[in-house]
Amino acid sequence: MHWAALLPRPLPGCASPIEPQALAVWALQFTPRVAGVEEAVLLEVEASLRLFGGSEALHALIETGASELGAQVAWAPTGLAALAFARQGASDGFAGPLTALLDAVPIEHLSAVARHQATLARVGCRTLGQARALPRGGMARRFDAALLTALDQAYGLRPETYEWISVPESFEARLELLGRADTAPEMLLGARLLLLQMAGWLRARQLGATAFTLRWQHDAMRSRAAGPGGELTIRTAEATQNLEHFARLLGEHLDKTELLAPAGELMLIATQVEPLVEASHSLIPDPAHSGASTRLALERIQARLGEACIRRPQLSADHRLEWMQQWSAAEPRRSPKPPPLHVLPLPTWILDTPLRLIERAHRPIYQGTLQLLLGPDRVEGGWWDRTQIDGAELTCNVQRDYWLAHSEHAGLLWIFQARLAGDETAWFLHGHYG
Amino acid sequence: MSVLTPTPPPSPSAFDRWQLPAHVAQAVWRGTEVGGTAGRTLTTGYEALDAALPGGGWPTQGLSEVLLAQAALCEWRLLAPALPTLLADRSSRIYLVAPPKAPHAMGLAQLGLAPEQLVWIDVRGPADSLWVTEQLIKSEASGAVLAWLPQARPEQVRRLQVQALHCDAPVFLFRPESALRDASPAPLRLSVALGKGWGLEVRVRKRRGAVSDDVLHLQAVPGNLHSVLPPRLRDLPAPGVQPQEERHALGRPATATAARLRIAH
Repeated sequence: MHWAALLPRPLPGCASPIEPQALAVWALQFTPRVAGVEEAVLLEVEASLRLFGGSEALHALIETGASELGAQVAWAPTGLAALAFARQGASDGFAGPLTALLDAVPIEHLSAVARHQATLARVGCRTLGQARALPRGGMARRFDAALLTALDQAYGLRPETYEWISVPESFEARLELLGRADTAPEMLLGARLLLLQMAGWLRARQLGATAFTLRWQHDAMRSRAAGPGGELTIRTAEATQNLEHFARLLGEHLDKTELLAPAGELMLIATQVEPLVEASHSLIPDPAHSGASTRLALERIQARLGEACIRRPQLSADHRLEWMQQWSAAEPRRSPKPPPLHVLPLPTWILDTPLRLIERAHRPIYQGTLQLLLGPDRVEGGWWDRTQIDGAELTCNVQRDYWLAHSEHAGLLWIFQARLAGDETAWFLHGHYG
Repeated sequence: MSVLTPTPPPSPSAFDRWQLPAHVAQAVWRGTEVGGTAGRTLTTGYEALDAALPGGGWPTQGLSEVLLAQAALCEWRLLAPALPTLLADRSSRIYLVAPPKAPHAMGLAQLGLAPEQLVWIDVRGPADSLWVTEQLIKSEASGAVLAWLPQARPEQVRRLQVQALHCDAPVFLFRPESALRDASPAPLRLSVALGKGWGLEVRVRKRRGAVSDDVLHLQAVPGNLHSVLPPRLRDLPAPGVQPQEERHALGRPATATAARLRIAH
């Protein structure tokens, strides 16, 4: 058997050490055998060693997480021994034979024995080894049965029985900050602890979160106008369990949030979750994986610079250059049949509004006299299409003769000649073949 | 006691490295050779350019800096032959970071770049576009990253270059010609200008291996124009032979020269 004991320890920045219940929920990601014993959490990980890549990898994983959450970790072949080591401050119960290591532990670290510490101390018993050396018959008569049972269980002579904790259906965690957070980014440190717990819960239930809510309660010394607290809901495009991604998204959003009053307490709720199918690991590097991390990067970019900064095109069947394509933040629908390509060769850069060109000797000029190569191509129509600009309704009707033009300095251009009011005509630059 | 006759030193021209043992010959590098690259390379679609680039194409795992006299001049003409092969994998994308003008998706689709594989990241400000470029490179984007960074300083480009060492996609930075004043941390640096007719003039300013002073002339007709160009335009006529139109004439005058120009397709 391979046991770990997690003993909550006070963390700098938090008012109280983490609740054993919350710690147990986090630990359920490693094994289903998690039990709350007194003030600590015991977990049995023998069956998970291979899944997490061996005992060393699992030890490192649990120890990193536990140190971040504020818990002392100790390892031992039995649960009570692990707990005793954790209380003693030792960490590895696999360093030597269990009996030798456990014999040196003071008796107050094993609760069932510690209850009789006063009596035992009077006969000169200070360590578990000395208590074990006492005659069993006398011990059984003088003390309660629990003492011998606990000693036997700690030394692995008798099986340990615990009631395993099951994974809760929903996730909700709270945290009281030691100091008040005056600005939103200050809350991130505390919120990260909650996110860590949520990531553990998600992994235990094999879910991915698509939305989570961070609520904060304002300090009692707030102004009346500030209200009791605030909340922030963060959504991700794809269900994920990635703690770093959660933390970065939350950080970007908190940077933009303004607190009305200092916050004293945080609460995190997994608002929307979806079942997540883990991709099986492969020996050969998978190119699809890199696409996934780029999607996360795009989400981070959107979180910082706004939803609209990422644009994807959508083609539509229109013959007017401006309305042939729309760029929007939405992921483009992949139509079963791609729209047919336009018959005319179109430029690769387009100007938002056509630029009126000056003329010299009736020739359009743009960085030198333009040489007209091909044309004209008449694009006409659009009377059915109306837009509202400044309250006035305008028809997007166009009547243009397009030319392919060559400029010595600006390269290949797509220009058109349009009729203005009266008999005037004018040249406009509309795109570049850049 | 025998007299030692001094052997004459071998002349450099007589040196043939293939006479050396194989493992030594492989390690010998001559100053006139074009260097190699660490990552894979992608053919540029232009033979002359392939021959001038280390590894025979656009490099991955490193930046390629392209210097242009003005933005939106000939980026797609230079890159369009290479990009469609990159997009063969449906999950790869072309990321455009802060392009100088709005790209036209239909025009790009005609060059073989599917609209659903284009991502335009519209950022303002040099700091943000640098940050976005770095995030994309760091995330090991598949496809290609095209970034317009006119104001980036050499140390900022160096930071990108360090990140790009782990990125298996080509990263192109488009910068103005004035960036030539500064040294570049990018391993490949080209300056591209419009040449005669349909041509592009490419100068390799920096590459691994020998220094090159040649001007490469690339015949870069935009891919979507190929099919509609009449034979008389295969060689672009020199500017200057422009028909004069009469101001007082209505509509379009039917002069002989104008009729010759207007060839429908």
